[in-house]
Amino acid sequence: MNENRIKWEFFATALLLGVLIVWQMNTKDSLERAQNPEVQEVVAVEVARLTNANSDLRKELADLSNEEYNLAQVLNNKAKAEESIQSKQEKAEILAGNKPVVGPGIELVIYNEVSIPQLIDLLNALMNIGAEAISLNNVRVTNQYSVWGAELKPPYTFQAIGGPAALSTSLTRRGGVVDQIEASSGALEFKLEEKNQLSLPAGDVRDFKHAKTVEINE
Amino acid sequence: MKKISVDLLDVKIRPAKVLLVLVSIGGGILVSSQWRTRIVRVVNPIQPYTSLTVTRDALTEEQSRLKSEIDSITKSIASRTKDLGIANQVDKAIVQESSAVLELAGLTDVQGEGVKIILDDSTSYLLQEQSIAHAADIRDIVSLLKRAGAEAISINGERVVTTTAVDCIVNTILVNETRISNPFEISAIGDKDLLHRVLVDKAILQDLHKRVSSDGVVYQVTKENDILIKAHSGGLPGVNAKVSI
Repeated sequence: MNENRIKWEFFATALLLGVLIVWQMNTKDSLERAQNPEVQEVVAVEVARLTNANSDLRKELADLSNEEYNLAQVLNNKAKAEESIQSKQEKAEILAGNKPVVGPGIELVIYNEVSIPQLIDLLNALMNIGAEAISLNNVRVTNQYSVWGAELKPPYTFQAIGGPAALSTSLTRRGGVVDQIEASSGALEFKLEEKNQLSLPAGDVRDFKHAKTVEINE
Repeated sequence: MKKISVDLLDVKIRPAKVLLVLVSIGGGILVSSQWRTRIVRVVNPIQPYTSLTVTRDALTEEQSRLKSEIDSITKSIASRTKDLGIANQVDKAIVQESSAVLELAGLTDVQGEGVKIILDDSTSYLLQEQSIAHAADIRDIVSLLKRAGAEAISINGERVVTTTAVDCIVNTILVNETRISNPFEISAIGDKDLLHRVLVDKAILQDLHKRVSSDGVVYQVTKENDILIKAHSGGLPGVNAKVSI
C-alpha cells in the first residue's frame, strides 16, 4: 500500500517536472525569439513596408472614388467624365509600357559581365524600391519583357524613373542588390547618377492572343 | 534504541524516496527559475515584439480590405464606362482605347489556357537552403514565363504587372508588397504547350531542376484549359513618370 503511494507520488512529481521543463523551454524560446534583434527587425521592416503600401492603396482608392463620381456626373459634365477615363488610361499606359515616358530618376551603368539571374535581381530590386518605369540598354521593360533571350552585353545601362534619392540610396546601401552581387561575383565597376529628367522609349507590347478579359455584368 | 536505528536506516536506503527528493529539488529549481523569469524584468522584452506583430497583423488586414474595395470599385467603374460608351454618353473611341490599355496593363480579370506551377519546400528532406523554395526561384520562373509569351501571370493570386517585385525578408516573401506563404501557386495564361515545355526543360532553370531531384524541392507543372487571373489591385504609377507626348 505504502509502496503504491510512493509510486504514485513519484509519477505525479515526474509528470510535474516534465511539464515544468517544457514550460521553461517554451518560455526561453519565446523570450529568445522576441529579443532576437533580427526577428524584431524583420517585423519592423514588414510594418514599415505595409504602412507605405497601404498609404498607396488609400490614395488609389481615393482616385478611383473620384473617377466613379465623375462618371456618375456625366450628364452634367461629359468633358470631366472623359478626362477621368483618360487620366486612368495614362496611368495604365505607364504600367503597360506602350508609350514613351519622362520623369526624374537614376541611371546605373554596369561595365562588368553579370549573369541572367543577377540581371533579374537588379530589375526586381529597382521595382521593389519604387521605380515606376525602367529601360535596360534603351529597351523598355514591360510586363512582356524578359532578360532571357534578350542578348544583353555589357555595359548594362539601367534607366529608372522614380524618386532619384530613394532609388540611388536603396541601390547602393549595405546589403542592397549591388552589395549582394559584389559579394557573390566580386567588385562591380559601375556608375550611378541621379537624373532630373529621363526619357524612356515605348516598349514592344503585343496584344493578347490567349488571355481574354472577363466581361463584367452588373 | 535499536528500533530507532533501524527506522533511520530504512529511510536512508529507500532509493525511490531519494529520487523523489532529487526530483522535487529539480522541480523547485525550475519553478523558481520560471518565477524569476517572469517577475524580475523591469521592462518586458516581449512587449515591443508583440506590439510590432499586432501592428503588422492589423496592417495586413487593412491591406486586404483596401484591395477588396479597390477591386469592387474598379469593376463598378469598368461596367459604368462600358455602359456610357454604348449609350454614346462619352466618346466611344476613348472607352475602347482605355479598355485595351487596361487589359495590357493587367488591370482587368482575364481568362484563358495556360499552366499552373506548384513550388514548395521539400517534404522529405531536412529543410535547409537547398531544399526550400526561394523568392529567387519565383522570379526566375516568372521571367521565363514572360520569355515564353505568358500574357498574364499571378503568384498566389497576386497579379504580376510591370512594377511587380518578388522580394524576400528573411523567410517572408512579398509580392506587390503583399505577404504570401508556401506552397506557391503560379498561374500563367498563354500557349500552354510552349509554357509547359520550357518549364520542364532541364536545360533551363538548371539550379531549380537540380534541387528538385537532389534536395526534394516540390515543383509541379500542369497544363490547364481555363485559368482565371484576377486584375492587379495595387497602386498605380504616375507620381514621377508621365506619358511623353
